[in-house]
Amino acid sequence: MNRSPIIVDVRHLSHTYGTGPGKVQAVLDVSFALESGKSLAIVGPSGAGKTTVLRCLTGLLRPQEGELFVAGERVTGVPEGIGVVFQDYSRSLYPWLSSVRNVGFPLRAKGTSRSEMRRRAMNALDMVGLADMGAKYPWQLSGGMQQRVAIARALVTEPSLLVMDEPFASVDAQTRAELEDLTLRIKQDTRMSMITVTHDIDESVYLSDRVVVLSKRPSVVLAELPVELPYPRDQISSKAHPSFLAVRQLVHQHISAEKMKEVS
Amino acid sequence: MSERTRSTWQGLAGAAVLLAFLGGTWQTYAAKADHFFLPTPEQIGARLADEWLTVDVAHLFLTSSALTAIGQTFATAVVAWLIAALLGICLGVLTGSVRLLDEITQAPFLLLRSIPGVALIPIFIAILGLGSDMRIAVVAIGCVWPVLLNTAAGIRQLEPLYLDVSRVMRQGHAARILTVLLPAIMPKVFAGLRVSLAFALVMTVATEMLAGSGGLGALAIRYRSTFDVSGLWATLAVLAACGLLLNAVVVLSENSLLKWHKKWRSASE
Repeated sequence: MNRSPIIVDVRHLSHTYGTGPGKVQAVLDVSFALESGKSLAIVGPSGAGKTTVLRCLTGLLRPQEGELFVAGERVTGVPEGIGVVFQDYSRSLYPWLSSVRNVGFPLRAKGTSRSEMRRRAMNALDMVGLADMGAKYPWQLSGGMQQRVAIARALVTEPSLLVMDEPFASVDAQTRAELEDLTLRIKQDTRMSMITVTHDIDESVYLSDRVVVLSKRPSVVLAELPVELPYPRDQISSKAHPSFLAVRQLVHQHISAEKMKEVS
Repeated sequence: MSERTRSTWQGLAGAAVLLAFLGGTWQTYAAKADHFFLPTPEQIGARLADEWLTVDVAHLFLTSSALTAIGQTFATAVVAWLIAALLGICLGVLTGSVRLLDEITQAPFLLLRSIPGVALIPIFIAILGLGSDMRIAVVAIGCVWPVLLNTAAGIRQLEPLYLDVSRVMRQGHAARILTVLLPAIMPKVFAGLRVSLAFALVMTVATEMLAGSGGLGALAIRYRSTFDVSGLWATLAVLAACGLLLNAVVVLSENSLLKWHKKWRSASE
């Protein structure tokens, strides 16, 4: 049996912010794993430690306890071979650079030549459907386009893992649907592994092969639900599929139960 | 003609009309009143033409004595300003990013910058003598504060996400400072540089007046002590022109380096 290698392995992650009486335990015990070429969604109520988990995964935060592995290597700083898309696109793109220069920026750190940077940046922009917007500055583009530029930038280094932190939370519903489909298309074409953090339940099921449901702070994994939706997916037939509806219902139930705890 | 060009021309036309009106009023009043200390613009103009200007293009239309005086004032102001810029940016980046340094330097910096730069001149003369070293040193110290404070503020207000993005791209520290930090704080830094240059000119002239060693400031004092009023006013006119020129240079370079910022600001209005 040929099993794909595990590209992400999170073991008993735990993190508390601050010390003393004001400290906040964001994550109590979170573990999950992702196979190469698959996509995972992390969903949970607001205030769950979703962003904390993501920051630990991308090396921006050192967890107090637990171990993380990306592509078999322990995460001590920012791991190699990842691309990250943040929620706030307007603040994650550099306003003094044109879109194509923003997209090519990660290649600078690798010492790529100017012309090669431009070629690969234009390729990445083409992948997100913005081939003719290279010369524009990010603040000259609409929100949806800016997020596409941010996605292109995450893709330009041809990472093996794409990590997205609530990437479509700040755009309108129609744009969100377009960007979700774009993400699925990219995943199909590049065979990338993907982790998406979201608070949108429908999105978590639509985009992933497995949904990890987190509890409120201090977070634990409430459930790991496989998604048996066939590819290619689309907004209409996939969302009417019995597997979609079943998983969606389960996730809703878990999250509603969590929210009830807050009230009681 | 674009909207912006038209409004620029309108602005210039308006300014020209205003200046012509003020100049005309001044001329009429001064000619009538015949104050000793208030020459007419005509007299000042004649003086400028006599002593300051020539038809020699190679000397920038200036007489050799004019060139020497203006050259010294300019050189002192600009060199001191460049030193202050470098010092201010480095110290600003350090105090803006390292909390400990910021706290240590708060009180001493506050004390130092509360002293009007001009008041430091006699102390510097006592320590460093009357030469160009003293002049450059006192002007640099006097005009470092706008750059330092603005740079530190720029660092503190830096969007944290810019740094997160740089970190996930695995940029080295030096690359992060040069390609992310500096461009991001450039608008604030430039604002500080503009103010600092104005200070530099003021302090240079004041130093030259007190130290009496060449330049436009010393010239102004000489005219004053010989009661050469037209000469004094002519010197002031030249000083005003210098100030305008220096400001124009900074504004022009700001416009080209910070084109993105201007467009961004006008796009969000």
